[in-house]
Amino acid sequence: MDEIAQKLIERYHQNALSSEENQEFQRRINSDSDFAKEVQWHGLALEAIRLQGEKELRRRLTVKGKELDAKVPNRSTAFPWQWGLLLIVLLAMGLWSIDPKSTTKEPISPAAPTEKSLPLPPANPKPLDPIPSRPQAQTKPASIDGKKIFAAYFEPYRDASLEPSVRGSAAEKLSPQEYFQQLYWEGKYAAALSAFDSLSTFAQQDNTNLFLKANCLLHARQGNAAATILEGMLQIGHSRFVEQVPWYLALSYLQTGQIEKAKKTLNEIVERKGLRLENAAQLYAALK
Amino acid sequence: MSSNSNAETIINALQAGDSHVIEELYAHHREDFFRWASHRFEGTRQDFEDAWQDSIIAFYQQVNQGKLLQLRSEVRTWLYAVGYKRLLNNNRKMKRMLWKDQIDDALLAIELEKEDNDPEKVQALHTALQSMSAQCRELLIARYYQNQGIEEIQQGWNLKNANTTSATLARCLGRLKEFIKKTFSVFSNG
Repeated sequence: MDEIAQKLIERYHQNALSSEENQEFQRRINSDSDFAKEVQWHGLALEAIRLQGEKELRRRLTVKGKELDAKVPNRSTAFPWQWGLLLIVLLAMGLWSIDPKSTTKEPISPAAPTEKSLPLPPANPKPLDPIPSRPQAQTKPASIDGKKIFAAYFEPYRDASLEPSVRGSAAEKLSPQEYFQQLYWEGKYAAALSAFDSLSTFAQQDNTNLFLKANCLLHARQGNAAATILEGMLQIGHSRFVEQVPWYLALSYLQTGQIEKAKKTLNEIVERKGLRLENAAQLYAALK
Repeated sequence: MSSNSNAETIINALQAGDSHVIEELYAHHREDFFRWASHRFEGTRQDFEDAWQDSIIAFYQQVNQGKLLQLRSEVRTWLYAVGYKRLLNNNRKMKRMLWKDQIDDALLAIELEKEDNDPEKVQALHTALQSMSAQCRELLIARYYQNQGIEEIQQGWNLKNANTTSATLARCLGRLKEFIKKTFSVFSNG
């Protein structure tokens, strides 16, 4: 197929033929069966691309929707539910404290802590070490407070490869990508989150950028939105950070109080002997 | 988002390959659409989310395929009308509360092509695209779905120059067509 024919076919599928081109197109499609077939194959190829593009766009919109929902909780329903839960917890605590059996016959733990003890936070992170130092041995808390444990374990991801090669301010002609990377490297996670929105569509789909965005979201305590991104990365499977993703996913679940899901994810890291094995084993034990 | 209230600006941006605009549009009117739809239908939030995504995607594709060059109504009205139509089509059992407003008028002016949902064909096309390398797939989607220009693609993928980019795209599209030809020839012969 000659180049002019290809151009005609392409412009036909873009609905961009001029009237002259349209005449030529009609002449060729009625007289040249190879041309007519090529029009059909081109149309099918575009349809295949459209189907995949639509799938990816839908995924992006779903992520965006979840981010929006996470930012603006539905107050009209969230508050009554939370108050209800608080009431139940208070009632249960009240009943437990006046029931002598609960403390004499069947103690839950022989060394029940008198005050909530949580795993200690990791020491200040080494600049280039992505693995936070080991929290000290801990006693089990009476009830699991995912958010506090999360705060003790979460440290935004860092490694040497993330250090920007160019530095400056946004006004100094840094590209949006360089600016985003610099903000992340400098620990300005909220600003990095805003800068992510200025990245090109390509860059926003890049797995490294998505992984860093998930870390920024976790830092901003938007665990649901972070989990959505990380779950998507796990599904895709081929990413530079694929081995790190489960750990941060577990932390996302923890931050949003989904303890069972967090435990399941941590257990998978332990069983697979994946990266962050030690951290995962400790955190898993703390949650049990 | 005053710029997004301007249909021409939005359409021009999408035609220029700025697909980021579509996410802004999705976010900007989403809650209003949910509220509006909940006055018309007794549906779940997920029903409304699905309809809203369908509507946004339909708008995106209509613009990118050159089928929607200008609007007689606001973008919001167009989106609501399509979302409304999707709710009617997808949820025929959903209880509908009858009222009428400008959305119903806009609905009459909107003609969307019926999608070809032959599952066998969809699967064959999916398989064809999955047979390509990841880079080819991404390049083809960027060029032919997101309408991105050669220069933008060249920069995004660190390709040598515009000629290399065009040649790579042509090679990828050629391979996809070859695979489709083989697959669909088997269909028609079988």
